[in-house]
Amino acid sequence: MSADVFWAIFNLDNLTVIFVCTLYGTFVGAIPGLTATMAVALLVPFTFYMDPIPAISAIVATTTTAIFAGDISGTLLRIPGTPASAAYVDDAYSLSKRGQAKTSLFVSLTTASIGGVVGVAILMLMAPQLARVAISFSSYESFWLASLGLTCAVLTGQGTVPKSFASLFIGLAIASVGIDIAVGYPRFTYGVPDLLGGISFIPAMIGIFAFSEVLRTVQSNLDSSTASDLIKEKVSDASSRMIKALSRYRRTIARSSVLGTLIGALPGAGADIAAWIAYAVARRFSKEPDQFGKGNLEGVAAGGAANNAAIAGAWTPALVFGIPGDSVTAIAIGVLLLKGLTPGPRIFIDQPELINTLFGSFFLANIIMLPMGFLAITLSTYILRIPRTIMAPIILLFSLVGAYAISSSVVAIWIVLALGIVGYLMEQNEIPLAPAILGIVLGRIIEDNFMVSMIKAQGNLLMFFERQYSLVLGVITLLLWCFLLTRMVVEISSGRRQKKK
Amino acid sequence: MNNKDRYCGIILLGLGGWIAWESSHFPVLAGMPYGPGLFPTIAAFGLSICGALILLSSLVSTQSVAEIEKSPEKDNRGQRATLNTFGVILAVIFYAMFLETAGFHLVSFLILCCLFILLQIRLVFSFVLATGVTVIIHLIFYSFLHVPLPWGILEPLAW
Repeated sequence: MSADVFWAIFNLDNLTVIFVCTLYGTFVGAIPGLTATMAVALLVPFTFYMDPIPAISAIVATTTTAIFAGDISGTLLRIPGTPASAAYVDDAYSLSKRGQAKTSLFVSLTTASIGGVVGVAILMLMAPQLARVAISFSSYESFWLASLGLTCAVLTGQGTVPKSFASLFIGLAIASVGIDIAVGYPRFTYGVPDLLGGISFIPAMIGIFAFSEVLRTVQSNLDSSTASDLIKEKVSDASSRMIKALSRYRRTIARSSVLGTLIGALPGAGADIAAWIAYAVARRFSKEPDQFGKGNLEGVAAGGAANNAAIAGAWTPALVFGIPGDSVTAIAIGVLLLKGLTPGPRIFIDQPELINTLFGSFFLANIIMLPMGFLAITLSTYILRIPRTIMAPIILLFSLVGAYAISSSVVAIWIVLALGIVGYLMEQNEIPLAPAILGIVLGRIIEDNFMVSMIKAQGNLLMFFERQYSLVLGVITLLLWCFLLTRMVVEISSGRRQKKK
Repeated sequence: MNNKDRYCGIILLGLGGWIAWESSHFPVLAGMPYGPGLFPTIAAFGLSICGALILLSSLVSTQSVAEIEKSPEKDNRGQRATLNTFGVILAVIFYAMFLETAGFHLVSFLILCCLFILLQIRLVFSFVLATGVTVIIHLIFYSFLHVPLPWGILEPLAW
């Protein structure tokens, strides 16, 4: 690590940002219903005023801690703070009812930190190698790669195939607003000058994640619960149980960390899917599978390690190909683009210091998370007492002012409202959000590469398969489309069979 | 799948049709059969096909809205939820319409107060909270980040 990179990571601004965002992430993640993605979406207006390195550090620190903090309300109230904690919530809550809430939280905190560090180590090893291959990509490969990313988002989306595809097309339709690149024709702008550059990314993310969350919060049962009786375990007892658990389940933690990183690297498959799969795999290999769901620390360790490792994994496709691995990296790509940085293989050659600083910040965030996490666990009963009736209007106002701050235009507020309602209706109808987000981020990239390729190929679609890598990527994408079509037919026919019964 | 999917399918079909119709009016590239309308048209067809499939799935599946049990308690909670939802949406519309004319401080204070009261926070506490949050946001965005928040009718008091 060069001295420049070292000072970029350890300078006061960056350290302050990481410290503050670790606290912020812990606070938001611990409150049930507020997701890590929402925390990042609300943070984006602030990153607008930062240099690229602190901006990315802020996103990384917030995400890693918010995902861990989701375990706090899951353990104490059986309400996962973020969806990534849902896989092992029954184990964590059962442990807490047995008086071992701190043990469970200490295990999930340390495994989250281990998972995060393993994830960054894999990211550091894999990303530069992949970037070397990706540097030779033309518009054909870029088109197929982005299409593959969107297809993976549909494949791993937590909805039926038609609904996941519908989400994707909603995202692509939103991305097509604004001046087109081929002839500069304004599309769907209806005379509003603020829409000429397209739907502004920050208000869109704030609307889809923060505003829709506020709508859901004000509709839910707003009675606040307290968990003060559940966290009376002594710190010394919890620490010794944690150390025993870490030693006993070291293989599970290692396997879940690697698995989480690999799953996180798949576009659309975020920390929650990684946690579910790692939990299922841990149960499959466990000596006591029947104890899973009834308060098994192995399940907590597996899910806790995997969901944080997935956060680092998601950065691999984002940095190397400019294709986000999850909603958070989709937002991060948007932030980098706003700062004039285009993620992709060239960033490894043109700005290696940025990449190395990013890796360093990742490590640092995962390490600072340990003391912050211990603090959050100690203060958790107080955090959980803050009623959501107070949080919802405050989050709403932060969302509106944050969106307005980017362009000093009320159009941003209208975008928050419109896309917030769209996001809310999508979730109400079980249409997953991830493919739409990827569609919004990748829509322009796909269209640009598609139009450039079509003009180069003079409309000959076979040219999309002429180059070696484009052939491989194209065939994989088409095979996945065939698989998705088959899955869709099975889904519809199984619905019909149910009706006959 | 249930009746909700039926409406969802119809809405997606309609949305796809509307985007396709709008896109058909876009110009094409010189010497090429396609242009700026190509991508929105692909998205529109995709949406329509998905809408049709969701509609089809809802028609062949069993569950219907009628099966969802109702209770007076649920009805009350449902009415409260609807009221809160519309309250939040109206607050945002009000905010967007009056932010620049009435100013950030006044509009923010008003919507916070209304929403706290709507969410059954005590009146005095709502006023105190709304004032505190407005001041904090002013300090963060206006004083610290130098975002030009509009003062509106309070312009003479601006610093």
